[in-house]
Amino acid sequence: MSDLTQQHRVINLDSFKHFFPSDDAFNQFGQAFVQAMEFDFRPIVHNDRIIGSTLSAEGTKEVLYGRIAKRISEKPEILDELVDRIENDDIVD
Amino acid sequence: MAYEIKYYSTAKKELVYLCETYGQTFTAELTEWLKFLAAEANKKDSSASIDVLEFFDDVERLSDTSWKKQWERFCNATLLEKLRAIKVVLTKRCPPWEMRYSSAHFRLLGQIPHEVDAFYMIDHTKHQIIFARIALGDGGA
Repeated sequence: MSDLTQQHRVINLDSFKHFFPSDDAFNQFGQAFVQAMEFDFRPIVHNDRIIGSTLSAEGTKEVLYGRIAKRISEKPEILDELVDRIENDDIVD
Repeated sequence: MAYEIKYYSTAKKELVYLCETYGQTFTAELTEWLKFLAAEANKKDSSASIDVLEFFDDVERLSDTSWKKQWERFCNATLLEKLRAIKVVLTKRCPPWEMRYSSAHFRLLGQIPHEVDAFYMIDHTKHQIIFARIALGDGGA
């Protein structure tokens, strides 16, 4: 398990493995979960409460495309800033 | 293996300002996110970010089609000129090199959900990820 799996910015299914009675049971759950994640915006329900929804890798990319388009259209000077920084800024630790 | 994290000097100032302003929890989560992006930097299929140059190419390619109706503001002449200017800067750099964009939600002061955007360069020859802009985006989760 890498360091990243310990961090709460990433939800790693492996961190829930200890809730399962066997590796086989966990692997079956993992496969079912991966299949469920293949489609975007499927509600995830726990105790009759919607706690979120699925977003596939492709869906995530679309969300990021939407965000960058919105950001740059609202604030086009971002592009000038990036050019200036890439051309003129020092690179620091 | 995670790439080494570097910053353009202005982006470093942005990072320091954000961390000083929005609290320890925000700082810890933002730092973890930057490390996560560094760990993903050498993965071609990572869905944690998008290739900025690829995005710009799509905008130019689609700016005369139906996309223009949906993104009319985005495709206005001034913005396309700026976009072409930065493309020149980006493309004259030697590959293997790329510029990527990512965004994630954080809680400012431990309470207020807010997006943070990051534009960053990846230098595959030096195994470095260099953040060029780290800034707050939209509010709300």
